Amino acid sequence: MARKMLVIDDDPTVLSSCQRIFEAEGYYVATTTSPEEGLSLVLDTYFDVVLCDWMMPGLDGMDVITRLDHTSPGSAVVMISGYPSIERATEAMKRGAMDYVAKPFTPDEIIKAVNEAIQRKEDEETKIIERFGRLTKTGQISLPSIDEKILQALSAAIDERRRTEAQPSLESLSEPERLQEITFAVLDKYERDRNNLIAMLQAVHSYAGYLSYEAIGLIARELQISEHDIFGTASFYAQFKFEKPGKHLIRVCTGTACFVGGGGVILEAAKSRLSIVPGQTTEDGVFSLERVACLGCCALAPVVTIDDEVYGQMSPAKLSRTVDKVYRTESVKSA
Amino acid sequence: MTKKRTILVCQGTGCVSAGAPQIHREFEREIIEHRLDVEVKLTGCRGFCQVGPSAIVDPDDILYCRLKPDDVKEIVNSHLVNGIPVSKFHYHDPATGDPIPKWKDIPFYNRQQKMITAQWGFINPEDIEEYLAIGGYRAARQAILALTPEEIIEEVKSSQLRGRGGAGFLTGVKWDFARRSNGGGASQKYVICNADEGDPGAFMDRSLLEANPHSMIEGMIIGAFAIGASKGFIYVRAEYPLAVHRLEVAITQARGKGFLGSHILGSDFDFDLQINQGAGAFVSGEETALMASIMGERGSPRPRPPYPASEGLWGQPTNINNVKTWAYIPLIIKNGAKWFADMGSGPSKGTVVFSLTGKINNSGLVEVPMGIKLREIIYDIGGGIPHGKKFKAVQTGGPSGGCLPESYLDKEVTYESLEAAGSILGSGGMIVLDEDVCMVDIAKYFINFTQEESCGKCSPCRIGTEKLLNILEKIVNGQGEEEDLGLLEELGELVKNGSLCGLGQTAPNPVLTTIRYFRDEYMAHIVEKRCPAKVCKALIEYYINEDTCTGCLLCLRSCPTNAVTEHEREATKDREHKHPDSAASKGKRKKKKVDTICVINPDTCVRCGICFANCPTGAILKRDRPLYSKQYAVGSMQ
Ligand SMILES: Cc1cc2nc3c(=O)[nH]c(=O)nc-3n(C[C@H](O)[C@H](O)[C@H](O)COP(=O)(O)O)c2cc1C
Ligand code: FES
Repeated sequence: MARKMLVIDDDPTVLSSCQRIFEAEGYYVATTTSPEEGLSLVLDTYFDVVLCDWMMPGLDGMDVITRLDHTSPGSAVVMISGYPSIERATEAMKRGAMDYVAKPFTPDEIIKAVNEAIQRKEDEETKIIERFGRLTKTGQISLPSIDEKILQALSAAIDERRRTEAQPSLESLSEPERLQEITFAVLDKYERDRNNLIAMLQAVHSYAGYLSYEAIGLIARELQISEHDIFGTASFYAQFKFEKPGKHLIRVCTGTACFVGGGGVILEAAKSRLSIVPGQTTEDGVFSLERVACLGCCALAPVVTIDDEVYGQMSPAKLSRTVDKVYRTESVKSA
Repeated sequence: MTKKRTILVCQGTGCVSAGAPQIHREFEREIIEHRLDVEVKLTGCRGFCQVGPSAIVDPDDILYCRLKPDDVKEIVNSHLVNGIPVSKFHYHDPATGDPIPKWKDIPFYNRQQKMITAQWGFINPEDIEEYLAIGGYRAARQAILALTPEEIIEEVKSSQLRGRGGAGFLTGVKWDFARRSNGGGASQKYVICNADEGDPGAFMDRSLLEANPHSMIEGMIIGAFAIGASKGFIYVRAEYPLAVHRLEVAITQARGKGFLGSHILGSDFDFDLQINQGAGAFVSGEETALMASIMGERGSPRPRPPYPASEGLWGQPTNINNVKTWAYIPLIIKNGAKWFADMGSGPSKGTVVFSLTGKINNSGLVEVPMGIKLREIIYDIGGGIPHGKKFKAVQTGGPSGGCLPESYLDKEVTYESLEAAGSILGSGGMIVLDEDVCMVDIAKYFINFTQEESCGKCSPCRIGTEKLLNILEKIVNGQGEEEDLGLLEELGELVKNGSLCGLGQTAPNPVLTTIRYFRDEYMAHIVEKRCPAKVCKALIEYYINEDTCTGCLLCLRSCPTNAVTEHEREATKDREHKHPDSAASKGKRKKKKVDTICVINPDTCVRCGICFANCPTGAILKRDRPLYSKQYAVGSMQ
């Protein structure tokens, strides 16, 4: 698919030369002399690259960059200006631009800058994805607490939906369908407003125990924002999980006080006892293991929580015994 | 008439997790059983978390420590019925072993200077009447009905109160900015309470919300009135469910009493509060990131200016303060700026709350006057280092702070002195490190933390912290070179100066201070390939002392890599020292069970430390790993 580029500059000659240069490079190029129009264009079309002038009548280029960072976070923005200065360049980069090119430029210069900007943007996105991957792996995650009333309302809403549509109960659904149902119920409860995004994610998360790809996709569709955007927001918070958790959650604190008190050894012991690493769930689905940074009871270091129970002054042997105990009650339950 | 007896059962998170709710129920049950006229009261944290669960019998002031449900019967019988306190549950002086019955006499308490923590553990945080009974909301009443906003700001200014959230900016000046700012003619202004407390190892903000939430709420009401804000947000970590619950209760009660809502106290001042739960990213504690998060965006920081005071939430003037900062406000209004400014040292006024943890006898929360010596905090209040170990360093300011060596013990604690030493006062985390802690490992720990928490928006922080981490990893793996130290310092300065927000600007502090004060420890790792504290896995090995090993096999059973094997004691000795057929060994060999000892194979051992922590007789020891000519690193470490 052709890469898409948007050029915003009040000087038409710049627009036409950019168009010529980049169409030859195989880009689809859109141009405008109006910053306002540029900002509205990015709402409809996703542009891989945006070239933006600094000095324009109406909106300042810097503000355009700031707004682009919100409305089109995935685009690589390059600022072009006839009045280059180090301060302006730094300012532009801090606001989210990927590069800064002085006018006039040769075709080679601008092509090189654009290619590098795209590359850097991709690296940045990879970092976010990696971070997301790392979070699910290292899982420095903790459970969101959400108003009990909201969950009850949610539960009622789901029951209602199941009844009116004469559907089988939630439990008998497949996992993706279950998540879909919950997400629909959450979407019913909240106004479709981006301000409610975190609250919606928290609601789905509390009810389902995690956020699935289906859930994120649905919310993205309904809020008319990109899945990428939701992912970026959600993965930013250590709180959210993206995989189905085990029946019991073991959290090992590696906050500073616990670290100094031997939390690292406790984590090793948990890994060894359960044969999983933090972020994973045991094959039998009984335990998930997570690492957290401080549970706020540092005086009891090292601290481990199993579900909501806090165990202070942990030792590897104590951990092992506690795990055994949970396994025993589990096997009694299933017997 | 004597005051009615009350049992104050601490129910802060620490004590709750140690079993305080059961203790509370036991007291209630026993008191009903004995038909006593005694009240059992839930309170927040009293700070001395080390001895939890604890209870105070009021008005006798007797403190009972480390209670178990079964102990309650005895206390009720002896103390409440017969009037004889049970000395075995008192706090015992670790040096003399003598019991200290009254909490006021315990060194942990009697050296403290309590301002904002004074009521913690003595009032029920879930009952506004108790806060009112100790003069609560009187400052708010006075502020709204008798003072002008300018007078309030003047009072806060002359108290010289500085923010307790990290940067230490003058609170009155910040309020003044927000009051004067018209945000492009806008009328809507906001106040925010920062209760994100991201520093891992600190819990004073949470304890405040759990022990006396109304003091903070009252501060916010006064601040909002002074600034002209009609809406406030409290941003709390979702990891703090108990704090959130107590805040919710407190806000509802304050609304019920007309301290929140419209026409507060009959004036035309409207103000209400909303709780926002942060979802666990360290950087969301930074003010611009926090505001982004309240607005439902990704919690990453933006460049300042514009400062929140001119352009904050939804572009409107916003004032943000830490929980503790807000809690000082009612006290300053009530007692006057001078009362506050009289305490402290130089431009650092009033008191400061530390969460004292790590290798220290008395862990907990302490409130001390600014300018106190570190030694007083650690030795007089904290009771020194456990197990007769040697003090090595004290870490303040969390991931943004630094580690100070012994020579700083006699320096005053103020914003300025800590900053001059390369650390920061920060929000009040204080972690004591003893000789068993490796300073390179600690530096790596913090950089690893900031590296993971870096939002990735600016490159100095994102790439710089990663590079710092790589170099530190090299050093702890025994592959460091001498140039690495210079590189760390140079890179550290770069990250400090080039980063967008406070996270990156302070992230190198732990590395820079450890190099500054513990250079020889770095050099031992780099030159001798040795970890003096015997922590860094690649540079040590575990072995078993035959003389103290009892052959219990705990180590063998818990070893994840089967590196521990079992041997007959005589047989192993035989191979080394004795002739296999000597009469002595023959006789002993029959008592097989007693004579089993364990041996660790250094080649398969991954040095996870599980056996070391488990060994009941301390027979497992650590020593420097013999130098291997080519390979220093541990192959099997993940
Ligand atoms: C990375 C980072 C994390 C922070 N975390 C917190 C925090 O958890 N709590 C807090 O009160 N301030 C935190 N701050 C400081 C805030 O940005 C801000 O300075 C503070 O809330 C202002 O309140 P004060 O004037 O009362 O100190 C943090 C700053 C940075 C740079
Ligand atoms: S560091 Fe583990 S609970 Fe605080």
